[in-house]
Amino acid sequence: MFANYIKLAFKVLARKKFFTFISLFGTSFTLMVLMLIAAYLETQFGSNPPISDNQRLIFTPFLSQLYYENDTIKKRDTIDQNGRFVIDSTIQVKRRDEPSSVSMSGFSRRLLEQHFSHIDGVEAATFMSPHSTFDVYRNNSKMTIRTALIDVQYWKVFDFVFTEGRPINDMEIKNNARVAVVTEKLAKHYFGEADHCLGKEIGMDEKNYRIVGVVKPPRPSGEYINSDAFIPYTVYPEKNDPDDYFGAYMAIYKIRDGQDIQAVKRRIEQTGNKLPVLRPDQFNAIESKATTYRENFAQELIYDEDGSRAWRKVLLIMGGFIALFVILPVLNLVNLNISRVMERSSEIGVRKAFGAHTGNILFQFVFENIVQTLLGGIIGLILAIIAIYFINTSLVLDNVKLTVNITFFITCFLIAILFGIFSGLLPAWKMSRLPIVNALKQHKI
Amino acid sequence: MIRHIFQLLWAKRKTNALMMLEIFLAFLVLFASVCFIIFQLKKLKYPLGFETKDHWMVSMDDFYYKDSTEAANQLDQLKNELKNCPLVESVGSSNSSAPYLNNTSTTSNDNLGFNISTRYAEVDIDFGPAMGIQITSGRWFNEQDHLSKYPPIIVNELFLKNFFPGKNMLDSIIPINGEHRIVGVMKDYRYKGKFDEPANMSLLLRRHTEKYLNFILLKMKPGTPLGEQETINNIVKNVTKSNSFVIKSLEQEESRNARSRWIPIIALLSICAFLCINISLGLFGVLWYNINKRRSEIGLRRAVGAHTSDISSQFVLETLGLAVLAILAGILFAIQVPLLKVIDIDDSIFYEAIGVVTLILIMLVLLCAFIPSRQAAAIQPARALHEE
Repeated sequence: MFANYIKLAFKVLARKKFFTFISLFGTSFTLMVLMLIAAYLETQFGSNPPISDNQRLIFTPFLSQLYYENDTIKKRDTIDQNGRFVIDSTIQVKRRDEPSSVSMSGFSRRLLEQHFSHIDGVEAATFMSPHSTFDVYRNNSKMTIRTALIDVQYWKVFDFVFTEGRPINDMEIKNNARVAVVTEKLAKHYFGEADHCLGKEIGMDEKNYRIVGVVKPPRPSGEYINSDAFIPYTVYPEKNDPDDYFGAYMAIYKIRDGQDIQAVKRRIEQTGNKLPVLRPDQFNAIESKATTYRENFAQELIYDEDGSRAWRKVLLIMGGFIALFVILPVLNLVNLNISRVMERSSEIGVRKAFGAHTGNILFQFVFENIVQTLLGGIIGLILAIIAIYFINTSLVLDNVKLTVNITFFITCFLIAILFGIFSGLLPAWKMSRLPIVNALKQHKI
Repeated sequence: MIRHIFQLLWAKRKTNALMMLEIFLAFLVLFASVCFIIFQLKKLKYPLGFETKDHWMVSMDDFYYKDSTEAANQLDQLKNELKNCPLVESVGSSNSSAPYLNNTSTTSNDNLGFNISTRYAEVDIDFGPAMGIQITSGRWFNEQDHLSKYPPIIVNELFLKNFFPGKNMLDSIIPINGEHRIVGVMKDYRYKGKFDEPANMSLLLRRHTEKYLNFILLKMKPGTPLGEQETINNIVKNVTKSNSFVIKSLEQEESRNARSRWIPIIALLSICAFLCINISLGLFGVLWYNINKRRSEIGLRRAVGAHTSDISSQFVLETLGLAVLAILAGILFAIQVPLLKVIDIDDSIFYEAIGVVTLILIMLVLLCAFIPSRQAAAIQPARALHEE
């Protein structure tokens, strides 16, 4: 039966080439765009090192010191007290809703170590700082190296894939050792090859670092992972005032499995809000905002102080746009198919006259449609793979590398089938309900 | 005639409803995309206000933690040595509100009874000539300004237009970070690049020895190759005894910045183009098919004396009527955006977008209707009736 249906489907496709072209053009292009979106989302939100457990990560990038102006509201009133007027005024002090001054910056490492190391429900906490960028000239070409200052916990929060060597260990950090973990990309640039770099020295900022590990460059983006070289934070001790809250560090937490991420997030925020005010003449409140991975992503796209609100907005906008974008080609196909019902009416009439149920016919036409969209899906997949290749080589998305893998294929396959079902259902239903007599009468077989 | 067409449309309302829904949704998608594209492209017509060709910038990271005297000495020495370099024409300094860094400093107050808010950058006396800042009235900073009672300030034209429209504000004292005297008005200084929304901007004068003026802007001799960055690199390295700085070409930064903004525009444009092609192919197919089904009707009309132009205009008008209804519904929704102030940007963008989208859709529909209608008109009555 299936073989028959497939045969039929291809016969129908070959019969009216123009209509087939219209259908395939619409399906393949729509599916290509959907596949590209799927590939991007898979790269950012899928389980990709070094942020495989991204749904367990919490970021605390900023601390804000604020000053809220107090409004003094004086109400003057006179009352009659035994024939004498007495002035009775009330004074009300009210804090304004909007701060009059906000100072926002990263944390000082000392502050993080003192107050933010022990949070309930956290498996590992790392304090890192995206450090300087250096220009390095090798073989007449310029290279800009981004470095990050990291601690031992960094490798527990982020699961970088090591092609060689190992992470920086506790001893090296304690001894301010000049060691570095570098990405394959930097090693290739600097030494001309990515293999056998262990133990070699790399010069950055007039200092030489011994390479102890080489990692694969991250596929997703984010300033906390997008460095070319990772060095112990003790190499560059903080130079700011020891009491200052502000510094260049941010905190990234990996919570324990099964913990409520929003609860841990609130706990971190409260820790920040409870900090004593440092300079009462300048500030009278302290706030720290923590965000989950998704919220962090959303906040990079649209500005909203509240992370979860930003994420909801992004979902709404993206979802709405994708929905509209898909509905249009589906409607187009539905329109085309409906107007082509009559073409097949004699066939339907004959099948029905020989005892086919409405369900059989419905199934046959949906099936045909799925075959057609799958064909469009294959063309779309080829187009998507070509597009991904161009996106990756032209570095349109900076460091983000889209890839084609099993999850990608399965997603694409599902997208194509769903597309086929939705665009085929209404026309097929209409076709299957054709009255036999009309169908047979209308056309010559 | 028109009543007749709507009667025909009503008779086939079920099929037509789906077509209308498609055009209506296409209107909404195109409207959203075109709004975004117009919004982005409108920014391009404002001048950048500074030069990027043959301009390089040295960003030095670690001056903030340096001792102030040491930093001042180094910055002074650095400026002199860079000036003496034969590749360099002039040298200016800026604080971190420098081109393409994505830093913003804003200041606001309501001391004058209304809210004045402006972005600002702190620059030295050579910054303007080095960056090619255009002064439209007044003058650039001079040496005496360092000593004057009120520190000088240069504001952009938009600032004046927003806060003091139609007034000559030269030499006026205005409160911005303390009281400042306006000595000049510049065309603009859009240091975040061409795709940034035009904003109020002002420049404050500082000495180049202040340690937070750690961004050095170089006007190079025309045609200096990028490979010479190594020469500049060596000068800076020798003076600052450090390697934590980066040299960037402003021209490259501008194109990189522009590229990241062009990507979503191009992506949207291609999606719109695809939707348009898809819809027109669909419309074309449906019309073509329907006309083939109505051969007998056409044949009959021709037989009783209808002209070919009558036939084709009937089909074109039928499709047009359908499209106009759908577009009207779309406009009804789209017009709510500026009327209800859903998004707080210039209203004219929405009206322009409505106009553009309506035009595009009408053109598409006409194009799709034209060819099948011509075909319909060419039907021979004898043959059509004979088939019946």
